[in-house]
Amino acid sequence: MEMVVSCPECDENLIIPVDAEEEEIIDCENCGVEIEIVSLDPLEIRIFEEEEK
Amino acid sequence: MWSELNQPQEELILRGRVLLPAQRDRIVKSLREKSSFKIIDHMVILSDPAQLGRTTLNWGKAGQEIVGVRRKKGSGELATQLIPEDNPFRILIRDGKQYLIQLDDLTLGWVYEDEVVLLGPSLENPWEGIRRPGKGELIEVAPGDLNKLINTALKYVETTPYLRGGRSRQGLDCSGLIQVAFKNALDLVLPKHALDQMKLGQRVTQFEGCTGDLVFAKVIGRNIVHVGLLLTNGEKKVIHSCLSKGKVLAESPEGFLKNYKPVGYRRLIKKVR
Repeated sequence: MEMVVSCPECDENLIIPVDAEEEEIIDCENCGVEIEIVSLDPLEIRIFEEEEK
Repeated sequence: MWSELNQPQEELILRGRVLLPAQRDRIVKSLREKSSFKIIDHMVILSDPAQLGRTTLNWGKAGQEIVGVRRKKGSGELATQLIPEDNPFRILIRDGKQYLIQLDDLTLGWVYEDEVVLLGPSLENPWEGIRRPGKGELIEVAPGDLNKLINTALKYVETTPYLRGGRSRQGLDCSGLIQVAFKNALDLVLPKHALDQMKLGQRVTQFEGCTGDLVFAKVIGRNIVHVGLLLTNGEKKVIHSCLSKGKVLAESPEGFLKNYKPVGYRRLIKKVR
């Protein structure tokens, strides 16, 4: 079952796909920020910030 | 940027120009937190292509074989490159002998005036009709087009060096390879940055990933997003421009996974019969 959490950037609902994988990056449909799925059980997410190349 | 206070209506009217939507959003958010006035936003966003009629100083093209578009004014760091075959770019700001330009893929960067040719400010919108894949969208292509995409990408394998910001025969970076392959094979304009490419098309899982899909991956140990093109017909390969190997290569998934950890797969195109 897909999980719904609050986006850490905009607080809107963020759907974690049912087949999401740890370390996958998804983006918030509302604000577009990239979210990294740190772990699935327990669910831990954070904003993905790319480092300077 | 400047503001105007409409006291009887308790309105704060914002006027002026900002480069990016995020800058406008920050200003509006900050004022909303500090003021009880209603914020009326009339700011012009220079990089918004929907406002190009009033934000384009001029149109231009590369005036030499390859023009480096720099991330910062006067720096040597490439944001991207221009070649004469590209669609015209638009000039947003002139500062001394340099222009801040926006390419058809919406990338922003600086060029020197003597590297480019001006086409005139009143050019009829040359970006009209450009096909840019959107989020959630699948672009329909003929079965032969998928082979064309793969063959276009394969042309660069072992022959083209890695160049950060590159999208020319001089060199390609990971997103530059994907951009050039989709443009030359399918006439689709993708953004230059891998993270922006990741926002396009439809998410697929690694098990669904097939030829023509994009694999996004983190460089192991670093928060840098890399992108490659999947080839699953016959022998599985990832076609990508690899910084550590210094060139474009078609690598086995096992080889790819030694340096990269996949963080997502996206499908941008769909074959139709």
